[in-house]
Amino acid sequence: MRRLLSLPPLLLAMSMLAFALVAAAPGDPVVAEAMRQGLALTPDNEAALRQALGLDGSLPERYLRWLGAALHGDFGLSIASGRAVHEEIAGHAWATLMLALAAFALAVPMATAAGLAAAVARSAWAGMAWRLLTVLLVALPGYWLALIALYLAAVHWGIAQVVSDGELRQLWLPALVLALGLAAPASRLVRERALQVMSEDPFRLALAQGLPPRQLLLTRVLPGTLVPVVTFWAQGFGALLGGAVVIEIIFGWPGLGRLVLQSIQERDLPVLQAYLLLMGVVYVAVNLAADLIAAGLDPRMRAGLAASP
Amino acid sequence: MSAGNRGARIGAGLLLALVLLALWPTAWLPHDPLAQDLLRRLEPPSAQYWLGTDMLGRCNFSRVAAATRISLGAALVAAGALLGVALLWGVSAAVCAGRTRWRWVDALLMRAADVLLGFPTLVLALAIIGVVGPSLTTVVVALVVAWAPGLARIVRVLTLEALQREHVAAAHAAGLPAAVVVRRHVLPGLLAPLAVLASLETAGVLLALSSLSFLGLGAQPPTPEWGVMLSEARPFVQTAPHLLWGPGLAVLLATLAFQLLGEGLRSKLDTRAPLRW
Repeated sequence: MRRLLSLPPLLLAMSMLAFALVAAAPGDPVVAEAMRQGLALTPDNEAALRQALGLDGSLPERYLRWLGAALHGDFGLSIASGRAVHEEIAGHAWATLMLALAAFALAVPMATAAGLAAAVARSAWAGMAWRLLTVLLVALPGYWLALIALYLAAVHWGIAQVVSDGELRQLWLPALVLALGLAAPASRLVRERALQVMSEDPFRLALAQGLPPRQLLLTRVLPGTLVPVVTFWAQGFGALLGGAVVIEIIFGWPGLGRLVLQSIQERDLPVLQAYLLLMGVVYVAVNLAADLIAAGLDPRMRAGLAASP
Repeated sequence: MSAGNRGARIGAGLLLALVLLALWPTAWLPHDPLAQDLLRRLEPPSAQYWLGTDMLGRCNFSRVAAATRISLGAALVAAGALLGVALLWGVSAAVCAGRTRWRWVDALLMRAADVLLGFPTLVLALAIIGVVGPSLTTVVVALVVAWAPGLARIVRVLTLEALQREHVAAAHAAGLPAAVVVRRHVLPGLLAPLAVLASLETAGVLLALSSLSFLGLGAQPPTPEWGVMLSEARPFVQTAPHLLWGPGLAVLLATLAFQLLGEGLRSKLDTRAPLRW
């Protein structure tokens, strides 16, 4: 409950930050807009332009106006394209969401399976191979992995296209690249937790009672790993949203990454502002969901006694 | 234990090699990293050009080597600034948390961290770069702003723990000013965990820096920088794939160095001794 109450002030402060960041941007947008339209600035048209861009009035006044419009989904007009920002964002958000969800759907089972397997593996070689793989994957630059995957899949094996046109069947390669980078650290966390659970008394007792270890893996060890891992996944989803930018550019995936890069290059601040706020809200929502799930899984957290080892 | 130790040694060795490469005078490289030879573009590796030539006929090996200075240097500067900001932020919050009159400072500092952490790290960095305008300096500043709050939170918790130890409480009770207590009794205890964090964060910062440069937001061509080089190599993936290996492996090895060093240090500092039956 306290968690829910802390949300409105947090979101409000985040919106203030998104507003302030753009309001404090160097350069006068009025001058830039006049240059773009090829106008000589006179006091007359300057006032009109200022009003058209929503830049008249004091800062708090402008903030409230901007927030009010934003709450209705109106983020103003894109400077580069002249179209409504929410249309631009909506046109690209779908592709990014698909990519992030697909990567997520690939990463979670991969990491869980690899982590559990590494925890129970007896052979030193398997442990070593897993260690090497995760260390390498954590250190591997995602964009380089993407370039290599593109080179192998598109140029050598011909099972993907160098430039995708946003069709769903081309989703798997970028999603896989994104998922690998996320799954490596997650699988280490899963392994660590699994080892922890397996060294605790209830598990030993169950073993001593003669329950088959394989069954215990699913009924005891896996559930025991979930709580800390859920929180990690929420943060990982945030990393996915940011990391997707680079992957989208490389694979030509028509998501928000492309839009954002374009808006940075053209100083299209309204688009950037809307992107920042939207990603922030999504990220806060994902973290909230993770906390609720963790609370549902762990009665101690539900009781408000934050589980601290 | 031994695995961590070996890892730390490999990491330290790699790092040493990279630092040497960064300090290596440009004049001693096989070729001038900026010299173009338009008649010998996109050549595969040969005895003369160890890693081949890029789309302007520049020596790829010399460019990868010369880029070490910028890529590694920027990452170290960013990580240093990150550590300094986080230390100041976290320690002052923790010190203020212990006094009734100053508790609001702690609350303010931590709520500010919450707000910044409300955004995905890279997204916030992108927004800052977009507002200020792309350049290597901007990227470093943006990364520091986006990453510092998370680190500051950890530093605060570590400091709070340190402040509760008895010798620190005793020093405080003896009437030493807070600044002296922090400097003499709190900071030394923070050094070890901070070294681990710093090493791991540098790995992350290095990756982020080079990916932002890859996007064209950081170092600008013709500066040799690993991310920039990979983005220059990208259109030639089909005809000159050899251009991918040098800079990519360089980023990988540099990240690996900090990662191994950090994890090795951590397992070394891990004093939990599991009971051996």
